[in-house]
Amino acid sequence: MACIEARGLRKKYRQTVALDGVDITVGEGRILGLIGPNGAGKSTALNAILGLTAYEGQLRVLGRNPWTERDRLMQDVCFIADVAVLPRWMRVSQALDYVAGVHPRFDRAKAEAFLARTDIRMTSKVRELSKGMVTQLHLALVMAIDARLLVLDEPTLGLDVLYRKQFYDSLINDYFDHTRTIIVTTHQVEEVQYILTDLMFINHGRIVLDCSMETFESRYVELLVGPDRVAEARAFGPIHERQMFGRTLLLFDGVAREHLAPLGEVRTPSIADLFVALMGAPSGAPGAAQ
Amino acid sequence: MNTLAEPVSDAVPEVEAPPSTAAHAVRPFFWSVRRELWETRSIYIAPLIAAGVVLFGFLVSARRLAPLVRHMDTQDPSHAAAAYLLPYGIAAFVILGTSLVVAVFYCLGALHNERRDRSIFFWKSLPVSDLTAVAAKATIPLAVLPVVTFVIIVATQLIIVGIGSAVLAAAGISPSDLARFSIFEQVGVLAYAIFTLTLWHAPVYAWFLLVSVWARRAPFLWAFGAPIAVTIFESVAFGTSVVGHFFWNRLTGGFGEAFHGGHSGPGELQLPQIDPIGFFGNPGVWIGLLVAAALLAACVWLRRYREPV
Repeated sequence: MACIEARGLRKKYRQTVALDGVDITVGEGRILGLIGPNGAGKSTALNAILGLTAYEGQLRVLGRNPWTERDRLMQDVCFIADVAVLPRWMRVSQALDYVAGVHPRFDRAKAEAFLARTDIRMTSKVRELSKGMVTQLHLALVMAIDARLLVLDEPTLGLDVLYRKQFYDSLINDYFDHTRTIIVTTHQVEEVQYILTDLMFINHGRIVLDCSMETFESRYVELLVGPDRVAEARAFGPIHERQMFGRTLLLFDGVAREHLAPLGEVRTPSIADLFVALMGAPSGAPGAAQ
Repeated sequence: MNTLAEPVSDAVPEVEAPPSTAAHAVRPFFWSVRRELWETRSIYIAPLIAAGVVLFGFLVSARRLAPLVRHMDTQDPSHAAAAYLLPYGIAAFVILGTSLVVAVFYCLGALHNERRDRSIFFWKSLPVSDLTAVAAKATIPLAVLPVVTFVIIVATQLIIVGIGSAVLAAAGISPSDLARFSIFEQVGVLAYAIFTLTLWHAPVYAWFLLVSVWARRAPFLWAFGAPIAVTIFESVAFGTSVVGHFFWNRLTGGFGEAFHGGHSGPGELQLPQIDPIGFFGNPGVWIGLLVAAALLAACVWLRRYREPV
């Protein structure tokens, strides 16, 4: 059963087409990584899902039209739209009071327990917290809400690696329970690779890749090959290649591992490598594209 | 669209599989008003400071009060009463004026600052409708500030009367001979004055809130610049000043509409002057309230349907 169901989702600003007829289906209990360069249409897609922007086409989130039924939808949907959007004047205790006062399914004790494990004090104002602590606070608030869909738009932008790691660890260990759905966009793709169940690349308002992580792992193969066997490897039609310490790293789509294994080192590519292969200059590597 | 909706709504019956968190009762409007008071503490601090300044000035002047009253008493008792009551009127005037300034700045920032600091994304991530959010913000100038102002003015005046009476009594003058007015009557007049002034200013506040939600930058300039521009245009194009007078009367004519001969400060107004029939019979009051409602509806619509930033 789908948590998000979009058909022909389009959004046009004055000059530019931000979303160009996108189809998205996200099942419940999935963790979708929405990956794309700046201006690819990620935030527009998320804003449409969150009822923050008008759109053309069909879109259902938890069975509701997010544009016309936004108020009701927000009972079941939660989001972190950007880092550090918590009001700077607010005290931590006030943030807890407020969310507890307006959200029927906010578990204050859970948020307090999470905050107790951080250096955040109840009396601090948001403006006194570091960027990483603001994100921790926001995460504490969001994780204590029993929502069915959580949308995270660049939740760890500008944070150091410790906070980023901790953020996703908390999300997976303390929040995700296989019935909730999470959508996350990020530029730090390597950090979300192992938590995602689904992967979607978006560029120029179009879906470039839409697959589950199982499909990703079985479909894409990376081969590190010495100069002597490059020609043989190229015969299998790599979609991307680059040089690495005198050897060549080739990326294949749908080529069986057993064909490649005799030629060199075979491994599963990182999302970042596939991203570069699919989004990078298509004619960048000699002999890459067929 | 319905075909898509069907399977989802079927799967979400009214009673969900044991939720990990029991839903608890919420009061979005109450907490939305409270959060405004957390954010804008000047709503009560500014009138308190104004009251403090007046009281401090009065305390310093208290030692001069008895000689002043005694000196005037020999000439004309009514002058003595006026001297005794002067800080009383000043307190009302200063505190009310402060509150009006706070209200203007509050309205201009109320729906603008949340977009400027992007915290609107946080507010909009919670199940608080735009109607509730705008209603809470409109409640500040239309209900919270008037009540706060009323309470602070009455408290200040009671302190002034108390100290003044004590000083005069110590000097052997009976204040009751001088001040032939009822404190309850004055409180009633003040309540009426603040109530009618708030109704009279409602469209002004609503206009400021609309500019606040609409303007991408410089809401202050838009809020005052647009009416001034229309006024100047009219005066240049037609040589008349109907619009200018209309705006000016809306800003400053509240007491004039609610009191007979009320074109002065709230301190001087007396019970016989109140004119509720004239005020509530004035179509301008009701049209103003309708305009305020329309402007606030536009605020809700813009906050709901426009891109947040």
